[in-house]
Amino acid sequence: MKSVIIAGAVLLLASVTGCYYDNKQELYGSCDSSNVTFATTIEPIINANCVGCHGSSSPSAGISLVGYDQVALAANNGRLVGTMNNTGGHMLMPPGGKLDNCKLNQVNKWIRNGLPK
Amino acid sequence: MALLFSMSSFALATTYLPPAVSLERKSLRIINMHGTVGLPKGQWEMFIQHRFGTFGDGAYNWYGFDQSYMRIGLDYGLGKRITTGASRSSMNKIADAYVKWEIPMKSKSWTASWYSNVSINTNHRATIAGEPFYYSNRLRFINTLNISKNFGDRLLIGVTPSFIHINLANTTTSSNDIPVIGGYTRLKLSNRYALTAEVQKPMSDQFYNVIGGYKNTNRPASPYLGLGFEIFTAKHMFQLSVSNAQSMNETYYMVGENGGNAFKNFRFGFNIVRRW
Repeated sequence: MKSVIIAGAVLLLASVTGCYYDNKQELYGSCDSSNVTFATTIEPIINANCVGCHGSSSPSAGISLVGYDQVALAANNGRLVGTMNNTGGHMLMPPGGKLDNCKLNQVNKWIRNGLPK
Repeated sequence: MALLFSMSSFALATTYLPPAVSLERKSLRIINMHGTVGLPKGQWEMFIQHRFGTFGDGAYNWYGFDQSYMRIGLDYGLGKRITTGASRSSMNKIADAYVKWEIPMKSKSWTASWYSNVSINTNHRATIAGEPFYYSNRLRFINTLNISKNFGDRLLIGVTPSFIHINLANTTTSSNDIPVIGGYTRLKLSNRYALTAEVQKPMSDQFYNVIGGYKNTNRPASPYLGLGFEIFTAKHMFQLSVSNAQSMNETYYMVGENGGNAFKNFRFGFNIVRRW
């Protein structure tokens, strides 16, 4: 009986508390891919999601993503888009799961626009 | 005399179970989904799951075998009808915990359970959303009513209506609540081998949210699909599978964050299960 009460309490806790009706667009603004540059848009994405492993000292797989030149190199040889979208036989990066569509769109747009600084 | 007594009590303890159900009692899961049966009180189950890359990755990546996501977890029979467990997946860095309650049924061939799970995405804040960040952004919930029936000695068919809640949806028009319908089947071939299959898909294109009214569930064209082959050895259960889902967490693969039904979107995977 005791375990039933404990389990019931956990169930209730899990299904009632912490239920929110949020969405990214309302909380964090809509996706702005109109004016994408390296300094304003791409560098923060890369720093938050890639540099942890692909930093300047002993980067993973020998690929550093610190600074414009290194990121532009990865963008030009197709590995940046391939890994981020998990296409063309590239391993998915970051390994924790795909970035959201907004960030992927911004990266794609940046590459299409010719890698503006 | 004591030997006789212990023998008779053993005979009392082993009641007949149809084979399809008896195999159900070797592993809590079919492939990704839970079956209806829980763990006996005081028993532990450990499971290790792997899902590889898609067959479409090509020969260079050994048809997906070069990359894999894994999940490791532990289940425990808390009470006579209550099973609980927790796990960690590398995909989306998810930690999740669940409680499963076996609903008492009068009929021997029908079994049912209620499954309730909460999943925490433990990725970096910046990967999930912007600032100011709320802890609630990390959470997803699922409640499932799991009903299954035995047909004869070998076939088991289950139906699983579920309700998923996503705390942080993508856009103002995407639904936080998603009802999902699906099911599974297990065909026992012998004492060692069985074939399994499971399928899941959101019920409708739109769903009514308590806050915000009708919103899109972003229902995918093709459902989640998994086909499995089970091998039960003396102590371990091996569940080999081919499925189009990369995530092993219900709140992700059920709502269509997986590939279509073309062969190139399918991937190999396996579960290893051990009870004690």
